[in-house]
Amino acid sequence: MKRNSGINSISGAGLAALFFFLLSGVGFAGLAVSPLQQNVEVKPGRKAKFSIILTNNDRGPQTVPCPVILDVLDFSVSDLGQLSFGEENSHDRSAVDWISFEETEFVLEPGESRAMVATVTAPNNADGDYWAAVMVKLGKSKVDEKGVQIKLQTACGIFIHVARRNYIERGTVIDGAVDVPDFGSVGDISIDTSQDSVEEDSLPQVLKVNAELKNDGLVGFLARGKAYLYSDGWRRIATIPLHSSRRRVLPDDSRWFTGIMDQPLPAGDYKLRIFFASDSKYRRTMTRDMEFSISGEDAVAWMANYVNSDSSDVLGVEPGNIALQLNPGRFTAARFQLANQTLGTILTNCTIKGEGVSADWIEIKTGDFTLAPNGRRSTACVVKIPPDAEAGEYNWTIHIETERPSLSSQGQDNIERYEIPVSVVVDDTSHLVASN
Amino acid sequence: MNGLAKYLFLLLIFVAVCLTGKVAFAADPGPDSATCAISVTVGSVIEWEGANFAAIDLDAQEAAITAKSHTPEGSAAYTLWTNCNLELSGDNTATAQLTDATDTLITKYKISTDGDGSAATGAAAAAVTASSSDVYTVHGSFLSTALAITHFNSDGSVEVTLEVEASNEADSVADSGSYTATQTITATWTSDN
Repeated sequence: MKRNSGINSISGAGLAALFFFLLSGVGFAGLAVSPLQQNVEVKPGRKAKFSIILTNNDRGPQTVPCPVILDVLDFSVSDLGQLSFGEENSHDRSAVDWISFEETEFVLEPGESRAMVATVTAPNNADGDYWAAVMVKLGKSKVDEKGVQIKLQTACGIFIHVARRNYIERGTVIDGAVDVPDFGSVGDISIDTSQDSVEEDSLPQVLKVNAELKNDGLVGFLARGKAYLYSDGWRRIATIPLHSSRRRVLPDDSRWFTGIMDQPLPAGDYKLRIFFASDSKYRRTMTRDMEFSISGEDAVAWMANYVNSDSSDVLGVEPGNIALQLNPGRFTAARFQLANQTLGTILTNCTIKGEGVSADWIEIKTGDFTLAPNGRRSTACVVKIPPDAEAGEYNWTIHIETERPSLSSQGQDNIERYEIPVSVVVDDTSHLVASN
Repeated sequence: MNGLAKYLFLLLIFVAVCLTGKVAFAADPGPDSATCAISVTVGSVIEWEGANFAAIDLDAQEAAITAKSHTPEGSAAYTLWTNCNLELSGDNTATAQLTDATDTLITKYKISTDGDGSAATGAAAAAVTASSSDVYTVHGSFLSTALAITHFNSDGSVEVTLEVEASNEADSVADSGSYTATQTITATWTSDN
């Protein structure tokens, strides 16, 4: 009995040791990186600073220290908006040599958060926009491990503007194409109309407009584009919003934008004007004209194969309303998401109006954007309650206008409107002062 | 004299105690206002999280290659916490190909998410098709078109599963040995951030 109990205690200790050994091997590590993009302004020959917040969130006793490596790299953007990182993507407007961190390799303990401050030093002869990426690498290389080692990293885009003078965006629409359905001898084609199966490149019954915009200037710009469709000379019959996965076009870069209209066109000759503008104060428009025609046979086949698969609403809005309870002086943000539920590209414009309340309290971060077919985007509604706000309920409404490509000759209104009610209850039980 | 001094000293202490006691036990002065400066910045966040970030050991997860036609597979899952849309891209260099320094294996990858962006954060069907992320793709092309991850408002995390498959070349058998590779998954910003 005594002997057995000794064996039991030894085996128990062994099991406990094994359990501890196994548990110690199942540590969780994580790294949060914020923000993902930053714009830094600096004068020629001067320095500026920016910071990236890194956090090893403590998610319990299994959270382990996380080794971190910061690397400043070049990146390039392809004409389709794909990012590529590394030395092979070096370019004339690289800011890699301008950016320095005091520390680039360290360990974040569980629950630790650090603001990694970087200094940007602009040369005297710098002029316009420059860029680089900060690659935040998680963990250390394990040399002896068998199989496929996995490394995870997060890239932050750093866009530096060297303000020597006022700049005017200079862009050219260097290429464009109109794709109309080519039914050929196929005649009747079967179309899968389920939303999930749709992709831009395989839509057979849509009008697709592609336009390549090149930045010829010294500064990048956020481009927004439309294609105006005309028939019978210059009678406008439709407006097609143009979409790109990345609408920031950097100097010397070019970017393809695509517009899709899922409605069949009647036979005839058409003119198309591609139109781009930027978000800036000194905006300059960029245009290109094209022509195409639809034969009678194609128009008949297009109409015969057309299936209106749109849901009743062009836009999905989530959530349906925003309700907040805040103290005076509080600064917060509520996110809402817009989903394009059509097979065409759509343009959305969000504005906010208060009902007897100052509009300064509330702001939409980015309210004007294009959504690809079935695309989604969330945006933030930023709320800042003044410190001297009276207690009570305040109401606003987010008005969303959505423009979809559709033939206006059919008497349809191509603009649909949606609303998100915003309610803020200001509670004066505590009184906070916001500071910038 | 000494006695008088002692008496006066005791009286002084008594008075002092009484006065301080009066202050200490005074009535509640009532609510007082206090201010606290608060500053909040709302930014886009991406967080990778995983268990140990161990390598995908195909031998352990399936078996060593013992026949020409044998194509072992392995996988690893990671959690990606986010409050914004993002893109995932892969490493297309030779580093991502299994090698033992003298020979190589065909190394294919695929990646999936537990949401589709419509009811939970994840990759929408159109994004999966565009990037071919759901089919085994040779390392040189894996996620060369980045996989777009769509953030869904009420879902702050997405589980990302990376799968690897190793195989011999069609017309040869790889040298015996221990093969290793390193695949790097990069999360990047999108226009939204």
